[in-house]
Amino acid sequence: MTIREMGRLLRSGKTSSVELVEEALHRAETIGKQLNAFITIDRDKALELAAERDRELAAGIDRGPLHGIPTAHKDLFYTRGIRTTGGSLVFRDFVPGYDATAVEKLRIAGAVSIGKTNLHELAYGVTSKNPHYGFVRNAHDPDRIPGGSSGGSATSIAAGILAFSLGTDTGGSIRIPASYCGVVGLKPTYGRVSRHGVLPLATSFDHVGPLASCVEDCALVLSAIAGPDPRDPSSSREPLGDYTAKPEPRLDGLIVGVPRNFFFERIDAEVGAAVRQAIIGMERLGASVREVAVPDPEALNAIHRVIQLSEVSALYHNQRDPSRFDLPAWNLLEQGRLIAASEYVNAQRLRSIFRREYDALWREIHVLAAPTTPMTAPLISETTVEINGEAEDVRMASTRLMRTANTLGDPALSLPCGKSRSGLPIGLQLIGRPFSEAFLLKLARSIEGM
Amino acid sequence: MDAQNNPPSSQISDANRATVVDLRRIFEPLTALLKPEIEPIVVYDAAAQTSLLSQPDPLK
Repeated sequence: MTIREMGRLLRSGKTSSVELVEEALHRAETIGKQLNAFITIDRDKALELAAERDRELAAGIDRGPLHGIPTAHKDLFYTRGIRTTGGSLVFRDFVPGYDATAVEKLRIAGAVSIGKTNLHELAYGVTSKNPHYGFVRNAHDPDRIPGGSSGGSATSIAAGILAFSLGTDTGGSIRIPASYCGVVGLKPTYGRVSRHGVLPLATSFDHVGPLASCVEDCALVLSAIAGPDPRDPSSSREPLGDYTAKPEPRLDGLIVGVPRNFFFERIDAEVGAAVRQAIIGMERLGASVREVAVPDPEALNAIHRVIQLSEVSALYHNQRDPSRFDLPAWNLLEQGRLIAASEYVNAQRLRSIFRREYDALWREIHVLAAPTTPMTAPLISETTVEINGEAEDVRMASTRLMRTANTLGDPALSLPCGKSRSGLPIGLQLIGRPFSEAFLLKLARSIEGM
Repeated sequence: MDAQNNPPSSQISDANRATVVDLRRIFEPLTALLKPEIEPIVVYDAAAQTSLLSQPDPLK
């Protein structure tokens, strides 16, 4: 059920928040357990809060669309009195004394958290094959990865446990699992949502955003969590948009950029066909489609890797014991220690150059449409995938089309645009100019309705 | 510098060194784009960096 559907049942007295939360808890403890979707489930606290939301509604206090709706937060978000592991042994016993701003805002908006979702260790990877808290499995096929790092959040939504969940995206960690699990995921503009109380990864790329079962649910969640935060100096004071604006029946006047280079190279044929079909659908609604050369995504990927490796290794510079980490995470920490300070600084300077190049592109087009991931969800047993006869590391392939939006800080959304012959979801990625979330969400709702 | 916080470089595996060498092969040529007088070091700020904030919503 979507947030709106649950809200209607709640307000018509056909259900209660306690019933909705009890159902979510039951599913989390059964299906969720099979999928290793959760690290912590807090049954008592969730039911206590749900009962309070029911009492409020009975007394005429309505906090808005999220009132009484069950959710869960990626276990990277600080939750007061509830441990926040980051999917890591390093934080196994860390119990924060306060809530992350996004968590606090959702609570104030009436949402009821049932617990903390599983993730890739430290959010530093895309498989969510977490050796410490269990491999997260894809609800569409438990032998496949859900993507990551927000794997538990995405698979919980795909399994019908939750309508929405908070995720984070440093190099695709919202959009990759959204693509592999067939849900909607939005990485907002850098600074749009406060990161206060979120375990950092690479601080100049980290974003907070929603994953949800539909675009409107993403919009409702963004409306609740977006905005400046005095506790996060990197949060932006740019005015908020009308994120829940109704979609337009026609897309006349819209110019959709379709990358001529990079984004459609080395992708699975079924993925390419589904994404192109969605683009044809936009054209049928009146949009103009323009092939464009996008400023070197391969360069942006290299810049992203240099900065990410450095920033994460700096964060964990005092970690000396490899036994506390899974090997892939430890390898990345080691690689980061080899990056020179001059390389890090120059990578940051290069971002400004590409920012200007993309600003010029955004003057020609309104949105870029591309695949989210080059392929559907890989098997858990695979460490490499074969795309068009070429073997590629799962992590590198999954992040290949992601890093541009993180390096620039531009908003990007993934929504389902069909399934492969074997029934696995395919993701369409829409990338927009800075702070154009309201437009992106409205467009995505039009596409969703096609 | 606190030596305790800096693992000896000899402990880093050859495979990880090779990965960084490969990354450098792509990254190094990009630095030719940089000019000292026009690319200051910035703390990334999407709002401050873009010149597009006043663009209208095409679907309005």
